[in-house]
Amino acid sequence: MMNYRVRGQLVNLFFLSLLAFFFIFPIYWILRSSLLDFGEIMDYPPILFPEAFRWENYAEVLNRVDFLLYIGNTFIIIVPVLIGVGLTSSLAAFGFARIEFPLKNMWFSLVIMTILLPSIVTLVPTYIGWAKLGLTDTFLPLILPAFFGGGAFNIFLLRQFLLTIPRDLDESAVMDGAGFFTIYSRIILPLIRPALVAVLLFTFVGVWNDFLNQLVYLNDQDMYTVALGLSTLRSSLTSPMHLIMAGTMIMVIPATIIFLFGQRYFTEGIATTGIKG
Amino acid sequence: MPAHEQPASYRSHKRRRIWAGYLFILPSILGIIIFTLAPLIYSFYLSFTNWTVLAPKKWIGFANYEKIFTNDYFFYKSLKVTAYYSLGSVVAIVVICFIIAMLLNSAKRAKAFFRAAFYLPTVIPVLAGSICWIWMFNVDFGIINYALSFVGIDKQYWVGAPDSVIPSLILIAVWGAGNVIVIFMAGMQDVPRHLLEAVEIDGGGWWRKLRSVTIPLVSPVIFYNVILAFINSLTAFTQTYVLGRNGGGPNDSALFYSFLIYREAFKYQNMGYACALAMVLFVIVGFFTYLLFKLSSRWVHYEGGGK
Repeated sequence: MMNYRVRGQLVNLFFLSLLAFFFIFPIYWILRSSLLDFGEIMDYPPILFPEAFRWENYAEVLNRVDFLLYIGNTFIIIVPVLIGVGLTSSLAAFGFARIEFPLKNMWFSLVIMTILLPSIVTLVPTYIGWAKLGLTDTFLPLILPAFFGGGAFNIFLLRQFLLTIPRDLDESAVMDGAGFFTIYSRIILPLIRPALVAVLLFTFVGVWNDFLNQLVYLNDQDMYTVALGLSTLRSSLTSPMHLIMAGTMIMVIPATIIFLFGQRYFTEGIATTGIKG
Repeated sequence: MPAHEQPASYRSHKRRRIWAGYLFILPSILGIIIFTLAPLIYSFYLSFTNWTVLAPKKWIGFANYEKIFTNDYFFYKSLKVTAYYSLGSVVAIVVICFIIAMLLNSAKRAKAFFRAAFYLPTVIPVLAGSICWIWMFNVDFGIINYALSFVGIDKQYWVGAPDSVIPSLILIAVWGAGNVIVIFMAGMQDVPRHLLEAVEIDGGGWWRKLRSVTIPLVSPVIFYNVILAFINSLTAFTQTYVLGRNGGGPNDSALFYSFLIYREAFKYQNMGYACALAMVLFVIVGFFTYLLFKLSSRWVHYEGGGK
């Protein structure tokens, strides 16, 4: 008879494998569907594994929808957003974690409270504001907010991380007469690097995944992002399913690559926010 | 030493510190004022007008609110749909992710692999994920109905029928909630082993361990995840935008509140009305968040008493 603990482990492993299959399968299904041809994808029972990999689907979808331009546009948004978020969220986190000043807790509570506000509540008036400035159909409404705090969640994450770092180093720098900005740039920034990388990865994925804001602010096809391109491809009545799936895969690949390379930062970063909240 | 007798260098240092503190948080404070508070106030003002972009704006008092509460079928519809989705997805996400995190934490092998597998869908764009799921849910060609036919389950309509669309969307939401699993795992690692062993020595089984040790100790993390899932459920938009010809699912059965606001503002150009809808949502969210925090003191245990 099998040992009780070993059996427990096997049952555990069995359920985990089953669940993991459920989580991974849809991604495989996009890949599979993107490699079939027009007729095969409508086959029933469904083809579980493509016989011939039709990579030419990707060339065809790039012919229909200018995904290369849209990838470029998306990066025109992402790069400045990363700079803005990295800069202003770390500045704020440093201020909140390391400097004593009056009303600090009130301001910090205000920052945290904005996490609790669903963005849809302020979307319409914010849009009207940008429209009055004549700046819709530019990338600015999608970029500029990043330079103003860079998201309450990011400030929170960086501050949590900073609180776990002993203050010895910055205190000895104060003794040496260093100013706050020197402490921030020379001591704190290098120390919080892992958390900052996590914030930047979350931000990248956030912009890449965003749909609503891009949909609202960008109407000119030449300004489209990958998400808007995919949405247009899908809603066009002449798009065959296998090409829609190839387009979907184009949107999945960069997010997956970023995740596979930065896995450690993702999981450690997200765990930091959950503990000792 | 009284304050006014402090040496000049100390006072100037203190003043410098206060200045520095405010300078560091200035961008984010400005951000909150410009991108949160100002829009809220502006939205409040616009909600009393009939602004439609094309026509000049006119002050119409409470007319928008009157229409919302007495004469808007879609408002009540979307309120029901959103409440159903919100409650369902919060419960499903928290319960299922809690169970998966427990399984993962007691696994001895391949833990990192499984954690990555569960987290991966979280980084997949909602648009891409939704398109894929809608395709897998397809009544006639979908893999899911095909798989279910082996266990004798008839064809289901999933996102294609008003009755099953919200449960289907909740399923997609659980699929994309791997971050909740990771947060739970981190919280569970902080549960001291000796407490669990103490229950074992007393002859308690896994249920006793869960009820008396794990859940109380992890309760702040549970609460955090409940709040997170709640806000996420209200922000959900893309998954309903891609459902059906004009979005919102069959017969507006997946008319999320966010989609209702979007539709009024950007399809019908009823900016004033959309702002009134947004203000109503603001009050509702405020009320339920307050309620969640209020109720949390009954079941959430913070170590060492206060928060």
